[in-house]
Amino acid sequence: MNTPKETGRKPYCTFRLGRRLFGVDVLDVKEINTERELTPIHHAPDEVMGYVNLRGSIHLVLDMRLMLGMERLEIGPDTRLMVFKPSAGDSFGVMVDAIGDIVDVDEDLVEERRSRDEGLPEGAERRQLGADFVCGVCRLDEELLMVVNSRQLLPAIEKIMTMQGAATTTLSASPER
Amino acid sequence: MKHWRLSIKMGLLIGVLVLTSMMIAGVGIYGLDSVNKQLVRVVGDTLEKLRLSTEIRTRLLEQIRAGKNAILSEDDEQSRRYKKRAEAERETIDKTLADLELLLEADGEDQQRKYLAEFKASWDELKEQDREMLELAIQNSNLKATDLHQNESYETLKGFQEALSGVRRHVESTQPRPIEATQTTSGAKTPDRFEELAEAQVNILRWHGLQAFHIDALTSRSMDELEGRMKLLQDRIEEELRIVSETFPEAKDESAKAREALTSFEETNSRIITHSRANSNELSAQMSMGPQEVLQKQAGEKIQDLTRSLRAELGKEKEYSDSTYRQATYAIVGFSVVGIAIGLFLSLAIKQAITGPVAACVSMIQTIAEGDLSRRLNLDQEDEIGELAHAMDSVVCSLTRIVADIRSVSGEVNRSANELSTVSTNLLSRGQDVSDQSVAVAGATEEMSANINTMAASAEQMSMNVVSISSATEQMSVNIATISSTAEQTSTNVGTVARSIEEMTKAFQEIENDVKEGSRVANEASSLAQDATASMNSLDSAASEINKVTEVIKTIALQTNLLALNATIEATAAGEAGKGFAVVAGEIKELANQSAQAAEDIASKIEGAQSSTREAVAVIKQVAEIIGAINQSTNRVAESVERQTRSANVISQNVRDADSGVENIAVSIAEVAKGANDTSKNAGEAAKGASDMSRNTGEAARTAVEISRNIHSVSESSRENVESSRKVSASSAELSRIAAELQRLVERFKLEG
Repeated sequence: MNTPKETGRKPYCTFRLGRRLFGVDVLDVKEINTERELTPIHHAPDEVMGYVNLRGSIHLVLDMRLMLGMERLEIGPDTRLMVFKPSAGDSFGVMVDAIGDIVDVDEDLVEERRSRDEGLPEGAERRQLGADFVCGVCRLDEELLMVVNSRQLLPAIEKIMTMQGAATTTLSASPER
Repeated sequence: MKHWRLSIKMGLLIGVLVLTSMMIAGVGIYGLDSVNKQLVRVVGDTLEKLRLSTEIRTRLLEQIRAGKNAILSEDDEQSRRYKKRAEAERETIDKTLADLELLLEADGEDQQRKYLAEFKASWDELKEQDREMLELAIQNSNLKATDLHQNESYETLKGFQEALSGVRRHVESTQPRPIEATQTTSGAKTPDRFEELAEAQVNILRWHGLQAFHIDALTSRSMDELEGRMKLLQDRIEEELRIVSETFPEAKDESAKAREALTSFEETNSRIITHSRANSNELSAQMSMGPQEVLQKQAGEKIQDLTRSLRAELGKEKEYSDSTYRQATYAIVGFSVVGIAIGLFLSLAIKQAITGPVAACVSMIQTIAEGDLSRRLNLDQEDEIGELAHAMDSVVCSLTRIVADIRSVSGEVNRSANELSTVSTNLLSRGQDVSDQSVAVAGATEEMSANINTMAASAEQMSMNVVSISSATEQMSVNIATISSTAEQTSTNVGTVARSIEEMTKAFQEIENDVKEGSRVANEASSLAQDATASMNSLDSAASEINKVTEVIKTIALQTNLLALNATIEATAAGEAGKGFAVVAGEIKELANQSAQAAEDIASKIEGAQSSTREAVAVIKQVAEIIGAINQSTNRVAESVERQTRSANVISQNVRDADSGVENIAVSIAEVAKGANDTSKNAGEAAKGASDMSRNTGEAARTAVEISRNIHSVSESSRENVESSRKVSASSAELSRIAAELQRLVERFKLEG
């Protein structure tokens, strides 16, 4: 809302996975919508939910809950699709449990998160993936905000695919129009 | 130029600047090179020549000074040293001269060469004379003569003088001073005797003086003259010395000594003359003062001329290098000015190409901030500014799309709100109907209750009448024995009975009427209750409809919220430009949240209204049931009344019979007794029926009270309903207002030009 131009303040688009609050740089977000008709990709890992058709262009949809080692995401009334700009990666989005406000965060308050830190979402050590894209944590007035680097999401998926040995196809390319 | 990329424009600008710098550098290097050449020439040749000529001049002066020193110095050794030095200087000058000649031969002006040749000629001459002069100078004869004159000659002179003084002292000691008598003669004679001696002493002093003159004399003629005078003095001194030795024979030793001194003086004198004759010093000095000086002056002038000429050349070269430097400076300044002018023009053109569109962008963003989204830049430019303008246009397009979406959504919200308002108004009027009807029911019930009470009172009265009939009949029965005596009384009693029965029949009639009225009212209440139920059901369906509407509103609010969020994201991505729009989007989001909240409120209130309605329906159902029960009771009452009417008619018949039988009591006593019994029996039946009726009527009254209470609770529920409906109506009005505000907010954006 209010976008003060003081140095060090950065707007984050917040969202929830489970009861935890996450945030990505607003400048990486293209749009948020209620689209939930997905075309599943059967050969892809579980973390890929499928393709979604947004006004004629195909986007890859990721399940960030699974990527963080949480339970699989169940689509509910508050479920939203957050689509990223090409600056964050090639045509993709993530499903989130709920969308929050846009908050301005003093960048001095964002603590660089050390890998394998405590306070990770439960079970994240299983994958060590969270460390790749959860790049910081910030104390807001009421709770902690996990800062997600959206540019690391696609590399993380590719890492999973390499780990599973299923990287035979490139998922980021649009297969149909 | 307009369609070139910014980098190409910058490249062009930088190219012009680089070219200018390179030209300046080239001109600077060329100019500096020629200045450098000039300097090399000056330093290497002209300055060297100048240095050499100046050195020659210095050496010449030094050589002259050394020569003069050699002439003037008294000591032989020193004189020779000076001579050697002068020769060394001469050699140096020769060497330097050769160098200078070589240099001038290689490159030099004719005038300079001429000056040098002239100098050389005079130098050669000077050199020759100088050598001669120096030869003379080292002989140093005059100084030697002076030395002899001052030392040896003076010593012998002093010896001579002393010898003569010794002669005089000896004479005076050997010939004591004569007495006074002889003093005059001898006194006159003594000075005479010493006269020759004093003369000799003076003469030798003169001679010594002549020696000094001889040394200083320059010409040989004056020397000859001086030598003649010396000879004369010598002869006189010898003459006087001879006279002295003759005059004073007693002082023979001293005389001999004087002669000896004279001889040595003469010898010294001859040596002085020899030296003085040589006269080298004077000659050399004369030489140095005379032709030598002329030559020196000449040589000095020549070399000075050369120096002056070299100096002039140096000045000319300085001027040339100055002009070269000035030319180079002008060229550098000229190229710089031209380059800077071109660069300035180019940078102005580029600045114009950048600031113009940027200003247009700024003005467009300002109009966007004022809410006018119809403007486009449509900049026909293909550089980065053009891309920026295109990006701005596309941002405005997407904003326009979003605002159009919001506008249509807000229209929909407004329509829904209006619909809701209509529905809630409808609901309100229906609730009012229900309330009115329930009030009417309450009134009717009240009326019914009053009727039933009247009925109850009538029944009571009837019961009382029946009881009185019974008692009268009993009394009649009792008094039958005394009938004869009381026949008149019986007639009266029968009249009373007949009146009572008439009254009772009237009361029954009244009861019947009341019962009919009650039945009618109950039917009316029943139909009203049915009406109320129907109203409640329609209220319920209206509430369900409202629920649907609020669902739609919630969905719309959610969509609006999402749109506002996306608008905020777009606005944030637009940076400073989207700041104003971000505020608007925030407000839209806030309104959407408020709409959702209002819809939620309405839904919960409708839920309350629905539960109230359901309660009311249940109560009305109960009321309808009770009314049915009342109807039944009333019917039973009607039945009892009918039965009683029948009994009363029978009684009436019987009483009429009794009345007719009174005339012949005696005859009909038995009949009366039987009739009385019948009457008694019928009266009991009537009493039982009346009691029944009274019970039924009491029941009816109780039920009526219950109905009344229920009807009140219906009325309460209806009032509650009406209250809820009013709240719904207020909420929908609020919603309608919010929708209107949303629409007004969105209207602020001008979408088409």
